[in-house]
Amino acid sequence: MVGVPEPFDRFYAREYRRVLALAYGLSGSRSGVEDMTQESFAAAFRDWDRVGRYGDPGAWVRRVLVNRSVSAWRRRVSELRAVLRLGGDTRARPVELDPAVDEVWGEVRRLPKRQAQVVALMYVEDRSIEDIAAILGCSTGAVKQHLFRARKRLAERLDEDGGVR
Amino acid sequence: MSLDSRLRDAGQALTKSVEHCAPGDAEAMVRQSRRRSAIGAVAVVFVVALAVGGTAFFVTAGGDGAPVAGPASTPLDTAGPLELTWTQHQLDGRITYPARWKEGYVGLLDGVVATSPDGAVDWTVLTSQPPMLSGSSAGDWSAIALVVVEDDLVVIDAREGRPIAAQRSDDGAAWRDVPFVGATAPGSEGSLVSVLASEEVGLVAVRDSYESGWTRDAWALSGDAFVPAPDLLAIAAMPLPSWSADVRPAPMNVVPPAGVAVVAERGGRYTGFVGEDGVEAGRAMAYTSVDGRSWDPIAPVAADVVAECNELEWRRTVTPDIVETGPLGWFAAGSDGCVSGVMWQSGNGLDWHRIAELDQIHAWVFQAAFPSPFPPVFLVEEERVVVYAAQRYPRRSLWNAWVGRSPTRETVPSDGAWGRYGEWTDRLEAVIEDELLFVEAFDATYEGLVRCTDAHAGASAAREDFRNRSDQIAAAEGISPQDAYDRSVGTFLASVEWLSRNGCEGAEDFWSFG
Repeated sequence: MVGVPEPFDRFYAREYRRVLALAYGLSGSRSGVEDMTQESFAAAFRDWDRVGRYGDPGAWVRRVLVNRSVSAWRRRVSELRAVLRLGGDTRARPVELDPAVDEVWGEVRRLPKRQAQVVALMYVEDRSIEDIAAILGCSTGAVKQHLFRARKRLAERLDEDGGVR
Repeated sequence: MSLDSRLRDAGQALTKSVEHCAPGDAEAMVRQSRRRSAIGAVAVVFVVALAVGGTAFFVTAGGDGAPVAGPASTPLDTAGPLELTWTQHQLDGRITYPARWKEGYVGLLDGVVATSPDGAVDWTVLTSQPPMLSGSSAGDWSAIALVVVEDDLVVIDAREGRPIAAQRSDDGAAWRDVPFVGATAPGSEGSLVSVLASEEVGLVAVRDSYESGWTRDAWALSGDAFVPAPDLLAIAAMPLPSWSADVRPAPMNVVPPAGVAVVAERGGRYTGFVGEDGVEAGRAMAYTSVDGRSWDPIAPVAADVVAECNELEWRRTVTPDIVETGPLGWFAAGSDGCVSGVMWQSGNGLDWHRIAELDQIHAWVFQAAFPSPFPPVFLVEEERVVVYAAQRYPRRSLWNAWVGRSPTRETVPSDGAWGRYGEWTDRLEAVIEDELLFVEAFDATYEGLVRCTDAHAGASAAREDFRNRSDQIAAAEGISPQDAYDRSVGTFLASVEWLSRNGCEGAEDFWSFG
């Protein structure tokens, strides 16, 4: 725990894009990731006086993001999206990915949930094994195991050009 | 390009794709979040108020919070209003916590309590919803659970940190609050992990929460309140079934055997499970039928097969491990919580049969005097299926552990033909008593893949040992040294993970193989 929390708006401005990219990788949805990301930050904001004192509040936000069901998120935001559209949602969305890159992330999302989370945290965020273990609340051994299995499966599914067999 | 490089490039592309997405003002973000919640809540309120008695229309809230109604056929992606006509297609995967209730079914439809006479199409929201579902926050529907206890409905809501619950009996009756004793204060982010109800343990709710670190808590329903039940944490971590696209509730004219409560249909075949949630006392039995009237018992089934038979993650609970192994279908292994481990096999994830007990697999002796709470664990290698099993003697730092393997993954034996990999008995004792890790395992042919004796200085030596052993394997089996190396490392990491999760402290610290 740290003594005085960093101002939330500074924390939010610094971390937003990285968490947004993580959400994009895990959900594959361009239109709902802002909501997923903002809801995770909003959860931190609601208790910022305490969350802000944690050693790594950014890890806390990421855990909230991945701890909730991505499918549930997607379902919910797809429905709320229609509502928000009436109010004129003008936020910028992520750029559409190159098809080859999109296929890679599609394969990542087909992995068992935990494996996909580990891969996203490692390759989107460049997180260490220890960081990922702390975010996901599991042992470093478990992270290595998930990563090993994920790589093995992805290697089977992706050919040398980055496409899908 | 290597897989690693490809993934890094894909990660960078993802990061670049959001560069132009400005976070905006934090206050505006919070306002927007509150607005979403309010809109969601209004939508729920109006659905509850107006959708009763029919499913052919929808009612929702517009962007300004005003209700909007529209025809049932309006496609979701082209209509402004939120569309909630519940066709079979849309119901796929949307009914959670299904259960039989009175003369029909009850379940959560996107976080709202709904009932159906046939469990298929005609889902209707209840007129009287629990207070928290019609309150001010929509939140995350995955943090809401519904359980039938006798004839009572119990709804648990863990969206706002402190879990809350409401219970009622008949349709139309008032809901009453059911407090969680000792739950952490609001604001502590939490999520509902699972809910279990059985005759043996009653109703148990499990939640993750953050309080300077993630913790997992269990509460059991006792009288008018949920009281802490840490001793039930392991068994209660089993998930309830959720009907996915190809597993549906069976129609009411399907009559399961007495005591069988959960009935699902998949591919024209009905399967019933013991207990409301398919689990009783950590075990599950299954029955199968093709006509819904004549039923045949099948062997003990993996407790969570209905819910997550496609989930290949290794589990941290006492639920059986389930893995898929190519043409042979699915395998599961579990412990009865006492002395023995059992293996099942399934071709489709539903019809399971027992193929072996652990003492048959290797003549492994699980001594009845020493309970073995750990289920066996599977690891599917390229060429064979590997089973780990362990026993820890109470009040002593002594482990017995075994690893067994099938000859090939295409010919998994159903009796005593399993090969024996190695024995860790004495060496794992050293891990605990002398802070030395001494692992020798997996393959007697190569006299062990790893042999390390010093937890602090062993990493680099072990890595080199992997290389040397891998060369031997590669030469003997005609595969590339890299493939042999990857296999060895994977197997070893699996063993470390397995040791770690079974309470062998220090195992994971030994190896930093990032």
